[in-house]
Amino acid sequence: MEATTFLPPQLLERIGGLDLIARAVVQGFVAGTHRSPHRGPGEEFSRHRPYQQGDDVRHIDWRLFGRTDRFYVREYREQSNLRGFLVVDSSLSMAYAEPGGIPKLRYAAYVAAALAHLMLRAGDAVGLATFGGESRLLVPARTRHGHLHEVLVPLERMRAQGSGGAAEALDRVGETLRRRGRVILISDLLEEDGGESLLRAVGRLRARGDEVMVLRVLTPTEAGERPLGPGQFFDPEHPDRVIPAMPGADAGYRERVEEYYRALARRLIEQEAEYVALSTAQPVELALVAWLRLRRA
Amino acid sequence: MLEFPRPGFLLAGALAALVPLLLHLIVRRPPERAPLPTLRFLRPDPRTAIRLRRRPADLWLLLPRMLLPLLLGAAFAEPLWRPQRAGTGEVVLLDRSAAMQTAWQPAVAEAARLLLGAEGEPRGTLVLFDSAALLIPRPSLTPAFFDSLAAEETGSAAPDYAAALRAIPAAVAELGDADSVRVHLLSSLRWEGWRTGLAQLRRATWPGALHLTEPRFATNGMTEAAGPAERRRAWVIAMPGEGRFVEAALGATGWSVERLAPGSAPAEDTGAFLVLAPVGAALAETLAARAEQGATVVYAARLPPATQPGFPWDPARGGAADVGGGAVYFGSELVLEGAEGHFAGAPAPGALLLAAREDGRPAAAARRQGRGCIVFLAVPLEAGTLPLSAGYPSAVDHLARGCASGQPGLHRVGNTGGLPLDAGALSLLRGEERPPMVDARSVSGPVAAVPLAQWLLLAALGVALLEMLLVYARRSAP
Repeated sequence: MEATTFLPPQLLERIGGLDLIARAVVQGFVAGTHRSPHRGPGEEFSRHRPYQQGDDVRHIDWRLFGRTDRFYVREYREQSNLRGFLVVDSSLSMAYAEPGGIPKLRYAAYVAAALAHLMLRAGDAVGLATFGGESRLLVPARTRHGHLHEVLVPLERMRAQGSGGAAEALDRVGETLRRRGRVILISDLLEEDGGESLLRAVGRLRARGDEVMVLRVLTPTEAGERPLGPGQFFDPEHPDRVIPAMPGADAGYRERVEEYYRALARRLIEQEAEYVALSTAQPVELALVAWLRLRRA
Repeated sequence: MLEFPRPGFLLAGALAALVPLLLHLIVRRPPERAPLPTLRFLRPDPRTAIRLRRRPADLWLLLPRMLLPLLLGAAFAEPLWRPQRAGTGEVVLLDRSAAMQTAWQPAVAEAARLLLGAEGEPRGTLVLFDSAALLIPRPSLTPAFFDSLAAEETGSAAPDYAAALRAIPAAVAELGDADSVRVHLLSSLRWEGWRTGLAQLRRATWPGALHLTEPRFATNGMTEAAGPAERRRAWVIAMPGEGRFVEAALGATGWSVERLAPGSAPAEDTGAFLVLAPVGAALAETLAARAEQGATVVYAARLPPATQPGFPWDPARGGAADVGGGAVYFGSELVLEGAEGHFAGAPAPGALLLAAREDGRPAAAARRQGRGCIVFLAVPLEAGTLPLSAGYPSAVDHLARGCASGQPGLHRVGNTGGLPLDAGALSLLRGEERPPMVDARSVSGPVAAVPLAQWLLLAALGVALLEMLLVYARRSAP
């Protein structure tokens, strides 16, 4: 699956609202990943069993009948009732966008919308939580018809504010998930304490048996992949912190950023959490690839 | 014509004008305030990016900023604007005193040469002086005037150089179209007048440069009579081993030289006798008689055994003898270096000064004796490195010519007490390359140069005000 076949994030905005964007992303993703014929998206083939009276004739495998002269029906995996939560970072740092790019928060919204769409198609219950100014459980995890819209609306209205960490939101989500669930954190992981509280919260979720996937969202500029000119830089979440710097001339900047995220990723993996590094310059579908890999695991 | 007496300031102003140009080319990138969530990974770097533009910014503001140092540099260079002039004007001070009897016509001819142009038009002014100075109006200076002047007799009064020199400002005032003045003094050298006249001249302010050319001695070639060249005869009276330099010098300058022992009788001739050794009374009388007949007798640091009336040197006057070295000036064109020693005394009243030391002491004097001449040289003629000077043969020849003609009647000079010549006269005698600059404040002649410095400063002030207004306008702009 080539990332170049997917729409770049900057063009997604032209599609329309998040609903359309999510559908477009998912359809494109599914079209690229669908291999074996199955009854519908989200249902996976499980096994063949002999036809019994009362079975739906639409499930008869006619190819197998052609080979065996016997009627067999396909059995599919039962619809999953896994409850999942999308936890989206809406702190002020997520409002950052590099010149010509989209804000991290918007990118996170694309990813969350696409994942919500995909998860609901797979039969998972999806909820939405955000953190930034305060940790909020915006949408409970459900699977009912029309629930996607309930998820997309707050995603569309999300605004960056505050500087709160992910730990509290993860803990609240964990309390909400009475049984094993799936938590997908979408954040730039720029935690005040270097991610310690985040790691502990992930540990608590893992201890409960929840699946955790961390999608790190960063712009190429923040990652050091595109040089920045000199200036007086300040932290959006702490505007009083201002330093004059020339990032383009700072040879160790990129290494320091990568080292931070490598250490974080290492510790997340140690806790058997999934870690995916995303860039706002990359197609959203890459996040779906990671989700698919997790679901098949 | 524009002059810059201090051109270094022009260069300084030009270099200073490059500074604002450079500053207008530099772009100092203002530190932009920008958010960056990954601030924690940045290292502070206070450097500010600087780059150069291809074209200077804000040309209207740059213009006065470059013009200001240029104007200031030009102002400090003290520019002077001189209207175009006709160049240097000539002023001739012609001595018509009794001292010029023997040199009058050549002097008048020289004055005519200096003051008349190719077509007889006047190009200078003339001051005739003896005991008083007379300024001849410039329009009167015609070839006919000089012809009639040459036919006139000289006066009987003594020359007053002070009067002649004080007449220079008035003479310069006649030179309306000249921006510098050259003064020629045509006279035989006398004691009095030099110091007084030059002192007053120095207190004046002149428009441009004043060149005082050297005085023309009466014997400085002006009175050379035209005629068939014939080999003159000279005798050198010297002890054995002496006189070889003098003999060689005379021989090199066209003399037929014979040597005489001090006790020998001189020939019946009216050539030149150069006495380098002590002579007896009899020889001295003989030499005096030869002078009466037209010979020139030169005593080189040797006095005759007995006082002779009319001898040009009085050992009892003036300074004492010394053994110091130095130069001897036979006018400005003939200088001998390396003299050693100086005889005591000074020229006798009425004597003609032929040479002087660099400190002003007379070094040679002459006096007519009958149809001939007695010359006394107060400096040994063969001592030190004097004979090695390039002008030695000319000096010896000059001495051997003595009074140069047989006209009697030298004017008697006053008693100056043996005081040396002042610095101005000395510089003239030395023929220094830079004639003394004289300030002649009272001259109301040609218009002086117009100083432009104050106008340039005024312009610089205006440019500075303009620059301030432009800066204020830009800062006030929304």
